[in-house]
Amino acid sequence: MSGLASYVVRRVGIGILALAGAVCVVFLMTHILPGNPAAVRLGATAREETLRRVEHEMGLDKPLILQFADYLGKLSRGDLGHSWITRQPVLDDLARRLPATAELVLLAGILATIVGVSVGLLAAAFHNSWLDVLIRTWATVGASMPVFWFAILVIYVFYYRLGWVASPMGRLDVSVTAVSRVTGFLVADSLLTRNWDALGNSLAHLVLPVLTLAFMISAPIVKMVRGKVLDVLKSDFVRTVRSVGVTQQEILFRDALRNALVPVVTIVGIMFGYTMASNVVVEMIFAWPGIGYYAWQALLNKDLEAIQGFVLAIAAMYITLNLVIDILYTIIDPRVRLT
Amino acid sequence: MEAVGEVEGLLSRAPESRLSRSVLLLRRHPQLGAGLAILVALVTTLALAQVLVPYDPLRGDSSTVLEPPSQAHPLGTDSFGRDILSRIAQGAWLDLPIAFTTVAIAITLGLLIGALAGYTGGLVDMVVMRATDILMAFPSFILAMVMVAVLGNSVPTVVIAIAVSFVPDFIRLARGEVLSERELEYVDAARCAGNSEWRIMYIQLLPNCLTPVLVHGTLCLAWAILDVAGLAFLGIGITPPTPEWGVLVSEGVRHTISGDWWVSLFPGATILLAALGFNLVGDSLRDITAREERGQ
Repeated sequence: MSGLASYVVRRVGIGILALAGAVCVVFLMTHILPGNPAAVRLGATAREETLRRVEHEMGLDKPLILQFADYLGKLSRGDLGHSWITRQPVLDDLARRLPATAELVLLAGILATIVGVSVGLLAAAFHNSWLDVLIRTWATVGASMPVFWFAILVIYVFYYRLGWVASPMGRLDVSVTAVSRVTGFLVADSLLTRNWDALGNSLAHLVLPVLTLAFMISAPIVKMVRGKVLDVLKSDFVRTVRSVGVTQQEILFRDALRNALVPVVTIVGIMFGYTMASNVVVEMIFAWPGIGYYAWQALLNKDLEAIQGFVLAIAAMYITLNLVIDILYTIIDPRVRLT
Repeated sequence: MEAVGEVEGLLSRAPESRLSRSVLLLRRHPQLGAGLAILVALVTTLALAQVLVPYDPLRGDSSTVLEPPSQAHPLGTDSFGRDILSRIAQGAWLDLPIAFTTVAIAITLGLLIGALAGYTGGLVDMVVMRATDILMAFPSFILAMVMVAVLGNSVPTVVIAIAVSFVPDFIRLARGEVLSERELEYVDAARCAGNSEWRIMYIQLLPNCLTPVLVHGTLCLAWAILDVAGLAFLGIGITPPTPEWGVLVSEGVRHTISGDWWVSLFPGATILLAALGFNLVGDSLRDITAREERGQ
């Protein structure tokens, strides 16, 4: 186990270094790039004195290195700055909105993984058949799909034409009795407080954004699973297994899928970034009050500290996720530790 | 099945005319044909539309507000009475050049930096690789989004932001290729012949590393189109009234939700087709080059 322990220590160290790097990038992006944050906030018509005053308030008249020291000092106290739109600390803003995003992203992620893995396996099992061609076409179209357009089409068909779902605005209708906040996950909270109206209504609001996001994420998963399973099916050990008379089904589910799923664990890390990017667009279209919608508002209003906080939060989640995955990986597959 | 593949393999090795080789390539990779067909059809339609549809894409007409597709307006009109086909055709002059410029910049930067890192090795390599690692912790679309927000809304800003968000991939690709290439004998030969290290790196080595970079570049064209339109849809980067494809879709959202579906449908379908074309071509190029590497 000491091998594993030293690996974990080293890997956590790398994670901390990456996080420090991310902090630097976020700071540089908002301070070095041409474009004065004070001018950005005030707009092009600002008078010279006002500009100087705001620059002073924001600490922009100090040397860059001191600004960076200030930024680090605040970060170390858990202070991500204040949003000048909501007048709240950015950290509180993000924390309050995170459950809405988590609800959406987790449901979509689980759905996309189940669908993506089974469809990808199906395509590989019937390699080069019409089914495979169909699935491959679907995956390629999915990878070329503008998410914002897909969301609009889905709203047009399922809300406007068929009227099957709740209006595509937010998480609950105004007419529904509010859910008391326990976890922040509306579905869980309405179950816990036995608020059945709210449960039905929140599910009706979840359907379209979850389907949209799941469709977007499933396409690359299908492609990767299909490719990996095909590679495994071509490998020497599968040929050996087949030659001893093991059936196709057993090979597919026991050997191919399991071996293909090991690298699929890493895909979760890659998919995270892609999901969070699509999520900003989905939350914007469905007026979903999560961190993506918050980031969009911050971008439109040039709310720099809120933008910094959002980007840093995404990078921190990404780095942590990859750290956990890498460590899990070495437990599943000890060969990884050697490299 | 396999026997047929072998015979075809033998055939493809036989000396043939360029035309029949291309036909064989397209028959083996229907995806490539489909992608090329989509792109050619799209570009031809949009080029012809500029000639055939005699409307000004920027000037409104109060007598033709929100008309569904008809003979006079094949894709309908928007809320200012502007012909949607003309606006999509006009938008092609923005979206396609932006995509190509973006990818060209990303490839150039990626090749220069990646080759330097791979060829020099040591400290330079370590710094470059750590820097790309850090950049990769930011989803590329979100990175581009923030850069445009900080730099301000304009076409050059969008190009730079998206290009920078693509660079880390190209750095890694170029570096990997250079690493495997620099050990080959012709590099030693070039050195013996008195070439400078810079000349070996950029003139002799780099051209041999281009294939995977260009294949990835084709796929990036699809992403660039999606990213530009996505940013514009969010109201970041290129803003109305510029007839950019993402702007056209966002202008139609209100109307789509109240039943006038054509305003967003056709511009979005154009984005999908363009991205699909480049994705199909890129995917099949990757298959073809991978097969050639394996010597099949």
